[in-house]
Amino acid sequence: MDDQRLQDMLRVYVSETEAIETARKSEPAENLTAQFHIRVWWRQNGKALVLLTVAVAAALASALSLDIATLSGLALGGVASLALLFIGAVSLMID
Amino acid sequence: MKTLSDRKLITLVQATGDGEAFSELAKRHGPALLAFLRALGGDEFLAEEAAQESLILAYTKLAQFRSASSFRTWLFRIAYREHARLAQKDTRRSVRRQSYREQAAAPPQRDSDLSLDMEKALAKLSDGERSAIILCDAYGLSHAQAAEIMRAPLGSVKTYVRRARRKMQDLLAHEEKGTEDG
Repeated sequence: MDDQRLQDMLRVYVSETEAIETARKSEPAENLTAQFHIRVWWRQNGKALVLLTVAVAAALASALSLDIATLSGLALGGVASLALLFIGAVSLMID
Repeated sequence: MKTLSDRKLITLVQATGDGEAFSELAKRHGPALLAFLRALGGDEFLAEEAAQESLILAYTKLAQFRSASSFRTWLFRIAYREHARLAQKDTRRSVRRQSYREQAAAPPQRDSDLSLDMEKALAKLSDGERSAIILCDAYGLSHAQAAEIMRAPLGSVKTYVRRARRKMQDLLAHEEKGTEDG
């Protein structure tokens, strides 16, 4: 087998892998794009979101004299709702 | 967006940070990026994770992109480093990866014996040899471009390619002989 034949085989191999990645059920390009938006958003706003949640929770706790369990529940619920809203918005954007 | 060239999309992202323009670039180059990363390591989870991280880095660093090389070559350079970085964290990821493999509904199916043989032969090369032969012989990059992507001396890349070709030729000839005998 000469070098040219090996190169041809490698090119076929890479093309086939690309075709598989393109055709896979999970639609990798769409999937990559969706996850990309979420990850970029999280990197840009994640810290601010956590800090805001903590601040709101602390303010609520102080104002309503809540115990720590109720407070944690509220905080988790808030973050989960925001995350779901964001994922929903990204899905709509992609569709 | 679909009708714009890579160059125009890049200019748009550089000027306005347009996420939609970058998404179009990601859609265009995503399958090739994944194929390249899979060829480097052959692990789906690692390849997809490295692809994600590479796209984020590419988006945040696109202002630094100069058209001395193509967008794909630049993206591959980022991806190569991310792949190496993530591969070093391998042990921490093994549990998640196992779970991913179990959950994967339809692992990629190879259509040809040729690709299966290639995959096996590539797996027997060293990391440097595999990367060099994939970049130079499968993607047609020059030795200098491969050296830039791999951050390796040009001489080392040439040696990697030469060694990898010899090993691959031996391995594939052995496979062919085995098939004929069997």
